Amino acid sequence: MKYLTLAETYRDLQATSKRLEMRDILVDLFRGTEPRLMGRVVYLTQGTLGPDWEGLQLGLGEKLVSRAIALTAGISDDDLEALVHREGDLGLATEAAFASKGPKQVQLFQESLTVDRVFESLTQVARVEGSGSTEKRIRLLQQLLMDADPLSARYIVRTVVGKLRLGIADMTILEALEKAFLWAEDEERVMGSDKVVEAIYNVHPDMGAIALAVANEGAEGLAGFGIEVGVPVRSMLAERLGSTPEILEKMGGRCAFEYKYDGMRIQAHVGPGGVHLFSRRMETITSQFPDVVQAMESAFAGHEAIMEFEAVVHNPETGELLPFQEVSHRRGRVHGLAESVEDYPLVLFAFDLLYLDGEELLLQEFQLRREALESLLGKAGEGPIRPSTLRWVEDPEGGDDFFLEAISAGCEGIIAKAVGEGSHYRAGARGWQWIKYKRDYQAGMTDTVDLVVVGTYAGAGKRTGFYGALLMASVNQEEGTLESVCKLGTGFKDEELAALHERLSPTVLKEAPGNLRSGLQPDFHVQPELVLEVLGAEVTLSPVHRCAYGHLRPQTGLAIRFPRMVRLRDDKGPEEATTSSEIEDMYRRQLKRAD
Amino acid sequence: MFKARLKGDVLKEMIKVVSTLVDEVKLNITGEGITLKAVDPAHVAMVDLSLNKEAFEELEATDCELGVDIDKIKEVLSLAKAGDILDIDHDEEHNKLVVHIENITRHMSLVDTMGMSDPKMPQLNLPANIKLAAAELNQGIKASESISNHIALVANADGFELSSQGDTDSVSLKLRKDLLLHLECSEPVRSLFSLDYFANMIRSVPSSGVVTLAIGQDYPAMMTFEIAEGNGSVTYLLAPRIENE
Repeated sequence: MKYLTLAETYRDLQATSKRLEMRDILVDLFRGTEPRLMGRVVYLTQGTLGPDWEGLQLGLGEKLVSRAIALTAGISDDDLEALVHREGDLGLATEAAFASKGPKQVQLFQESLTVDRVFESLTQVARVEGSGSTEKRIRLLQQLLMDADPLSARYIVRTVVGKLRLGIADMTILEALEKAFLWAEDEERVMGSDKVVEAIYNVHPDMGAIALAVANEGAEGLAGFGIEVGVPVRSMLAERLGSTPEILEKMGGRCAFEYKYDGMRIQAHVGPGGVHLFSRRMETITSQFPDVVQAMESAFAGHEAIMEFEAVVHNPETGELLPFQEVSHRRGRVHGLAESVEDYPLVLFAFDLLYLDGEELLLQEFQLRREALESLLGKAGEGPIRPSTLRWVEDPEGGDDFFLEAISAGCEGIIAKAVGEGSHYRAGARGWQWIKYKRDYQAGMTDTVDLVVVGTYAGAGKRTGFYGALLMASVNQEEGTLESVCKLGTGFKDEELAALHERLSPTVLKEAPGNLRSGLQPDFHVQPELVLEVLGAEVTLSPVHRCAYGHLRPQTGLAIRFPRMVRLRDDKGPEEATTSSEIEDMYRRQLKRAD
Repeated sequence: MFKARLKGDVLKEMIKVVSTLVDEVKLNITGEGITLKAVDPAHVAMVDLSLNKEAFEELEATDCELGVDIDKIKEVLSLAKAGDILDIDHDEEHNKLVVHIENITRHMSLVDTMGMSDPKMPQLNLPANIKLAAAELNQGIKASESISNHIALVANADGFELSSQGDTDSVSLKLRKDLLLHLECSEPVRSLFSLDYFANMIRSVPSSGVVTLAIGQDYPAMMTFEIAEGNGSVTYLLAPRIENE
């Protein structure tokens, strides 16, 4: 299979913003792919070379990649830079350089550019390490690009710099796999997906492995997948509400309240192969937490288990819990890890147990999982690994008392968890079985939301050279779109202004991304990748913003009034930002309260 | 085992030919001489060179492969005066190449030949064969250099032409059949090449040398000439540039 087939498909995918069209383009691609290549095709389509936790990362520096492009295209670095400026991104600039007029140099030994060759070369590029690695990478890329036509070069370059960004939601790929390999060809599906592939993906989120299996064996291929120690399970997520009575009503009068720690969520896998730690984005973070690994090895020796924890930094002198930012000192750190382990000792609060010694607990009710968790942890109340603080709640007073206790213990609030029937662990899903209630929710809408930066406005006066404001968007998961919801211009500290400028200016786009919905035109559009936590005064109807557009009133969206930046959320990707339907819910609750 | 005695000028000619394309090269050594094949990193050009036993003052060798860094050889050669004789041998114990010139001895580390492949010379069907003095070609190159980055080689039954087309100007050097040492051309052909590559290749032909050019229609060109006073031969292959429709 030629890589050009993929490149042409990517071009077609980017020409549409309709989810079903995207799905059907993928279905055609998958049906036309040799089954043995399906894994590679799917990884490449996601812009990766394997599942996230295997850590084989591309995302090479643009400078290095530019060198390889300039050498291959036979143009100067300056000419390439001018092309990047003109075309808007390195991929398009490469395409233009490769397609430029004038005679094209051919080679004595032309090799054809197959999917296998691209995948294997990129894997080599990602694996290169040690001295001279920059040179080796440039040479490997040059050899690959030499055989590339302009369109293939565009997408190879974007893949290499880690910016393929086809705007396809994982769910769209899963549904395409289902349609391509599990639905009978003549079957008219009016109802759409029955989510069988998604169910497997939620507990075994290796899209390439699943694709390979269904392409080769159809439905039978899915039977081989299940929960597995060493493969992260997609996290269950919580909805949000603003008061105890609302929560109890949703939960049928009875539920568990648990401290909502202001820490970092970690999924730990313990087994004969050692301890593996995964972030909520399913990246392997084992090496950043040697102390956690050690504590787990001794606490769970002889067991095989998958558990979820909130890692919180505490002050060993006072026992006081410190805010989230303190944990993030540890993230991505290579140097000085030993010091930071000492300076920021962690307590791990276990809150769920998904698998224990050969038994999948995922489908058990919450109480049973909790009992199993407590008996596994024993009475380790003072050690670094403790069960989360939890109380069974049946009336609003009991709930409010517990909420206040949580706040005074340094937590953000509580998470309510459903009990009884239907309270199993819903991997990868956000539902009303878990509801978070944070202290910010109490007064009006002083609620924080996590929004994606999609555009920038130039600053003036004191802010000359920085940004005056940012255009922020929420995520519409059903449509796969980003919907603008406010212009954010306050709450920045000076150093944050500079940091934002440094982060965002290299990601400026030539035109608005196809999946952005907004009635406003910022000075510059940027790659939608940075998430900021934003506090607003209330949610209002808006003629210019497109959040939940038309849901409440025709040609009207929702906006957040008086938005103020709280902090950067580097731990969250745009797909984890607050959704438009969450904001719509906030608006409706606000209305109810006003009544 | 490898032990050789040769004129500095012979080694200079050889290194000039190779260094237009690569920085490192693998020498295939036998008792009968040295051969090498190399392709430049961009896969645009290839060289196939052989130096016979007669090119050496003395040669004593068993079959072996040595990877050499061209720049290091150049450094040593810069010490040689015209007419100097070099003694070279392979110190197998330390895997070094030892070069003596007059009273200087240089111990040179070798390059690992692992991963240095032996490219195969592709089979080419080239309808035009032209034999001419390198000086003529150099004249054509000189004329083209101020005009364009490309040079076209054109041949028909009546003659041979080098031409370049710039944005505003053009230039051509035409040689009728009687001005060539030999011309054989079964059909009219034209191929365009990177002037940079072509010029470097032709400049490595020993002065007063004769080049045999074989060309086709939008096809690689083959250039053959002698070095070491006829005791060595070089074949260059250069891929064309193809004009977009």
